Amino acid sequence: MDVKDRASERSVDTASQIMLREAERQGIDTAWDRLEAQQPQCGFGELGLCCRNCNMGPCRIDPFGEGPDQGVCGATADIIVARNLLRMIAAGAAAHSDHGRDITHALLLTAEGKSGGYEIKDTAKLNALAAEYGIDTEGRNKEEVAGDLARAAYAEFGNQEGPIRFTRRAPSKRVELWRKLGIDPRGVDREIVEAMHRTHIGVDNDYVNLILHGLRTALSDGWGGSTIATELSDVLFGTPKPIKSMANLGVLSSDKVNIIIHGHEPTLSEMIVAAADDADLIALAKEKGANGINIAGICCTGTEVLMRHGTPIAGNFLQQELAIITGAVEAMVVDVQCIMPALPDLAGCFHTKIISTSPKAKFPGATHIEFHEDKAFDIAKEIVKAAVENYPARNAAKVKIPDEKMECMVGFSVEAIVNALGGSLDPLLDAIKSGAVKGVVGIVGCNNPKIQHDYAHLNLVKELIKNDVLVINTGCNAIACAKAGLLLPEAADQAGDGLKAVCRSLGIPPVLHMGSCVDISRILTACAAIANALGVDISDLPVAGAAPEWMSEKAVSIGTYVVASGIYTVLGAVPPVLGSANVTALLTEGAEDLIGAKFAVEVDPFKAAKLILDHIMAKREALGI
Amino acid sequence: MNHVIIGNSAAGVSAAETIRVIDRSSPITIISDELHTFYSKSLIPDFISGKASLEKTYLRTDTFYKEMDINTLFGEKVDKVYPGKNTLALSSGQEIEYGKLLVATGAGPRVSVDIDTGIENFFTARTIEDAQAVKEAALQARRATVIGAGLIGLKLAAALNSLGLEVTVLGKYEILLPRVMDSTAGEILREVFEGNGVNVLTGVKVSRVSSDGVRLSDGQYVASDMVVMAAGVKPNIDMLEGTEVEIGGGIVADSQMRTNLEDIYAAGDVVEDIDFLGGGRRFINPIWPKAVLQGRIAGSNMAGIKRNFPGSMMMNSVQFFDTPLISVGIVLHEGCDYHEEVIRYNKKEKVYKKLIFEKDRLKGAIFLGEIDKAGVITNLIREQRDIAPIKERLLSKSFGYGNILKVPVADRAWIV
Amino acid sequence: MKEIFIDIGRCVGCKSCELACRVEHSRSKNLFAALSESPLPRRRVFVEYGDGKKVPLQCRHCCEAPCVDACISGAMKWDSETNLVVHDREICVGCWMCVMVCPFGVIGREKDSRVAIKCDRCYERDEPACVEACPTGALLFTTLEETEKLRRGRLVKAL
Repeated sequence: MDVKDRASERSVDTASQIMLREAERQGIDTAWDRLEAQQPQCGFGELGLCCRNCNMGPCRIDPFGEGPDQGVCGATADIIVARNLLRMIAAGAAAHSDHGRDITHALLLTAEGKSGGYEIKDTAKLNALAAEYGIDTEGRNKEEVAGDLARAAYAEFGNQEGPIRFTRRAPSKRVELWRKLGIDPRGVDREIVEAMHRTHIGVDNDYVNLILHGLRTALSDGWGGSTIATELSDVLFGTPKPIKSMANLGVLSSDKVNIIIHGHEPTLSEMIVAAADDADLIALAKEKGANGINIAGICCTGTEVLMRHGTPIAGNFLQQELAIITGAVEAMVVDVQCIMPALPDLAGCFHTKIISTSPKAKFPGATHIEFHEDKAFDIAKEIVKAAVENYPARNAAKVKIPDEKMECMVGFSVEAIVNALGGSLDPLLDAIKSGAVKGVVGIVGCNNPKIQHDYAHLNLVKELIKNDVLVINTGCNAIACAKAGLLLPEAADQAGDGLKAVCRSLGIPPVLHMGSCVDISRILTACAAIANALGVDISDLPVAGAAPEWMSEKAVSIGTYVVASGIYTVLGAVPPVLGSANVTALLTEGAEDLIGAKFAVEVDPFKAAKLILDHIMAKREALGI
Repeated sequence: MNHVIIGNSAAGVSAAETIRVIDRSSPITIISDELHTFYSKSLIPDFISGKASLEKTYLRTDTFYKEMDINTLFGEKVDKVYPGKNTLALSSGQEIEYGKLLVATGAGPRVSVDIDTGIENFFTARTIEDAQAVKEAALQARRATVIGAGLIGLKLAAALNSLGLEVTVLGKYEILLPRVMDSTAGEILREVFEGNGVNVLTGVKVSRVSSDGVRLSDGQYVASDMVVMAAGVKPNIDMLEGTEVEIGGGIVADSQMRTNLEDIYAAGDVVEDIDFLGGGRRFINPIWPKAVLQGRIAGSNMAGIKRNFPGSMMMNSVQFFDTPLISVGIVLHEGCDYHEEVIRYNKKEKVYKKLIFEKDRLKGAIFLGEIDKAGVITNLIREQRDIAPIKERLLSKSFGYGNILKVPVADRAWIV
Repeated sequence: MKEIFIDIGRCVGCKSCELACRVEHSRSKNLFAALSESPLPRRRVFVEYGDGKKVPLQCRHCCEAPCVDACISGAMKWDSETNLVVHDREICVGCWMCVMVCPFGVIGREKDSRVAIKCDRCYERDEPACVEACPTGALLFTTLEETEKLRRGRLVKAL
C-alpha cells in the first residue's frame, strides 16, 4: 500500500493527511502506527473480561464458555465486566471533576485576591449561580459573592449527604426517578471513592447494583463536577458568546512564534493567551526574528480560549502529533488529560519544546514549568518567553504547514443560544413542535485511531442536519465540524429545509458549538430547560446523544450520565462490556425501563444517524408533535 | 510375492494399504465372507440407531480397491487353509494360492446361552446384515432385551433405547462394563442408563431365551419382543482348524504379527494379545486402533520391511447418552498389585476420574463425564514413563501436555 | 514445508491465540459478533501451564497419527496433499477415540453437536490465526530448517 493511501485511510481531514504523509516520509510513528503495532489487541480486554483488582489474579473469563467461568474469587463475567466499567466511569468522573475543582480553586483565589491575573468576568452569571445556591448577593461585592460560591462549589466535592445543587436543574420527575433508584448523587468525591470501594475484591458483586452506582457516579460528574467546571469557568473567564475564528493546522504561522496550548483546563490557556499580548514578549519575538506570537489550541484547553477569545484552534485529539510534525511549533504547552506521552519523543525530532505545567501531569522528556494560580500571569509569561526564545532553533527546511484552515463560528453557551433565539427558548420549542426542527442531538467525544479520523464525526453530523436535526456539540467533535465548515451559518445549506429556514432566520449555524468536554454539562442544562419549559421529563424529549469516535474514560462517564439523565446515546466504538451478556443487555435494553434511556452501539455513522432519527421520531410521536 | 488377506475390516485393509505403499506391484487379494466394501463394524450401533446411514459406515470409496490395485473376493468364505501347500480353499470350491497370508478375520459374538429352537427374534450384531435385521425387528418390537453389559451390549441397548424401545440389559457381573469400569463408575453409568429409561439387571444369569422373553436362572422372566446377544467375543478361526497354527484364546503371533508358521500372519481381533502393562494377561483386545496398527505392522513385515508391534493394552472410549467415558490400561485390581490410585469424584456433576499407579508408572485410567486431555494420560500409560515429577498434577483442573514437558515423551522438534 | 512451532519461553499466557482461533472459526470472523453465534465457535489451540511454563498447543498434524488410526468413522484423515490431519465433522460420530489417543490432548469436543474438533491449521490462510494473534512470537509458522537456524543462533548467543 502506498503512502498516499495510508494517509487517506487514516483521516478524512486533508491537513491531517498531508501531515501523515510527511510523518511517513520522515519515518515518524504516530498513534496510527502504534495502533498497528498493538494488533491484535487483547480480546479479553476488548470484552472487559480481564480482572486485575487483586493479586490472586490476574483472572480472565473465557467468553466462549470452554475455559474458566469464574475468577479466583469466584467473580463471574457479569461481575468483572460491571466492576471494570464502574472503574472506567469513576476515572472519567474523577478527571472531569478534578478539573472542576481546579476551576473552583482559581475562583476562590481570585475572590480572595490571591490569584495572579484572573478577574471575575461575568457578574450576571455569578449572581444567577449565587441565587441558585441561595447565596446572598444584596449589597455585597462580586468578590464576596464569588468567595461564597466557590466555597459552596468546593463543598459539593466532599458533600456526604447530597444533593448536589446543580442536579436540581433536572426536571423534578427525573430527580424523583434518581431518588427512587437510589442513584441521586450525594457528593462527587464520595461517589468516586465508593466506586473504588465497591470494585475492590469481595465487595459489590451484583452487576445491577454495580451499574446503578456507575450511573450515580456519572451523574455526580455530569450535574456535579462538569457543571461546576463550566459554570465557574464562565464566571471567571466570561460566558461564551458567538465568535468567529479559524480551525485546522493551517492556523499555524510560518513567520510567527507558534505556541500550541493543549490539554483541558482554561486556567492555563487564558493566561497564555493574555501573556502572548504582552508588549515585551512581542518585542522579544521580533528581536528573535519572528513576526509576532501566534497562539493556537488543541483539544479542550484550546476550545476554552477559542470560544472566549477567538484564539484559533489547530486541531483535535489525533492532530496533536501532526502539529509538531509541521516543524513550526516552538512550544506545545500542556496541562492535563488526553496529552499523549509520545509527545516529548516526537518533539525531539524537531525544535519543539513540550512544556508541562501541571503538578499532576509530568512527562519524561518535557520541560516542566509548574503552573500555579497565584502567580498565573507571571508563569504564563515565563512559558511564552521560553517559546519565543526557541524560535531561532526552528529549522525552515523542516517546516511544512498545510494550507488548510476553515472559518468557524463558536461559543454557543446556553445563554448565547437563548440570546440568539431572542431572549427565550420559545422559538426553538416552536420549531421543534412544528417539525421544522425534528429534534436536537448532542454529539461529543474524542478521536480514536480505530476509526478513520473525523469520518464518523462529520458523517453523523451531516446526516442529522440533512434530516432537520439541530446538532449541538463539544470537544473533538466540535473541532472536527469547525475544520469541515459545519460551524458556519452557511452550512445551513447542507441542512434539510426546515432546519435551514430556522438557521437562516436566526443567522446561526445548523451545528452549534457549545464548548469543551466538561461543557457537555451545557447540553444537560439545555435539555433540562427544554423539558421544564414543556413540563416533561428529559427522556420524553426528541433528543439524543452520540460519541462517534470516543476513546477515553471521560467519554464513558459522559455517556453514562447522559443516559442516566434520560437521553438515548449511540456510541461509535464498542465499549469493553460485551463479555457479559447481562451487562450488555442492561445497558442496551434494560436501562430503558430503569431510567427511560439506553445505550446503542453503531460504528457506521449512517446507520447511527438512522437509529437516532428513528428514536427522535418515536419520541415526537409519543409527545404528539 | 502374492499377498492374500482374509478379512476386509480394520486390520485387513490397513495391512493391504501398507503393503501397497511399500510394494507397488505384488498382487494383493482380500477375501471376505461379506459383500460390502470396507465398513466400520464399530459403527453398527450407530447404524441401528439411525445416527449413521449405511453410506456413512463405509470407510473407503467405491473405487478404493481398484485404485490400490487390490483384488477382491467378497462373499466368499474360506473353508480351510493348507499351510503345507500355501493354499486355501473357498467354500465355493475355488482354491487360492498365497505367498504370504494374513488372517484378519476378527472376532464374532459368543453365543453362550440356551435358545429355543426356531425362534426368529434372537439376534447378534456382528455384521451390517445382522444390524439390518436388528433394525427391522426393532420397527415391530416394543420391548428389547440385550444380553451382555459390556461395551457392545450397552451400545446396542442405548441404540435400541433411542429408537423408542423399552430396553432391558442383562449383565452377568454386578457392575456395568466389568472389564473397563470400577464399581463407582459402573454405578454412575447405571444411573445414566436408568435415568434414560433403560432397565438394568446385573448379576444375573440367563437360563433360556424364548420367543417371548428371557428366563433367568433365579426364576425371573424378562418379557421381550426381541433379544440381542452381545456377551463376549470369540475369534473367527474355523479355517485354521487342523493346521499347526498355534491357537490360544486367539491366534498367537509374535511382535511382527507372524504366527508360528513362516508365511502366515495374524492381526486384529482374531489375535490373542499379551497385555504389555504387565501381569502376563492374555486376552482378545477387540479395539479399532489396535487392529489398524497390527494390520500395518503385519503388512509391513509381509512386504519385507521389519516393524514391531509395540504391545497391546486395553483402551476404549464411548459416549452413552450425554456421558462420555474413557478407560485405558489396567483398571481392575483383581490379581494385580497396582493398588495405588488417585480418584476425583464430583457427585453433583457426575464426573469421575481415576488413575491407577504402580510406583511411578501409570497403569490405567478411568475418565467418566469429563474426558478432555485423556490422550495425554493414555500416552503416559503407553510409554510407561516415570511420572514422579508430575504425579500430583495429573488430575488437576488445568492438566494438559504442558504438565508433562519434564517427562521425555514423543518427538518434540516442534518446540523451539 | 511450514509448520507451527512453539517458542515456549515467549508465551505470556494471554490466550490471544485461543480467542483468535475461535474468531477465525466463527461464521462472522468478528470477536464481538462471534459471541452471539450459536453454537459458539470452539478453540482448537490451548494455552496450558506446567513446569512453570506457559505452553500454547495445537494439533501437531502427526504422521501415522494415532487419532487417524483410532477413528472408527473415517472422519479423521491424513491429507497427503497438505500434510495435514483433517477432520470431517459431517462424518464424525463423537466416539472420542481420537480424544483418548491424542498424546498432546489437543482434540476437543463440540459437546452439543457431539463431534470432535481440532486444529485445521487455518489451511485457507497464509498464516494461521493463532500465530498471527500471538503478540510475543511464541507461536511461529515456519520450516524446520528455519527453526534449527534459530535454535543454533540462540545456542551460539548463550555461549
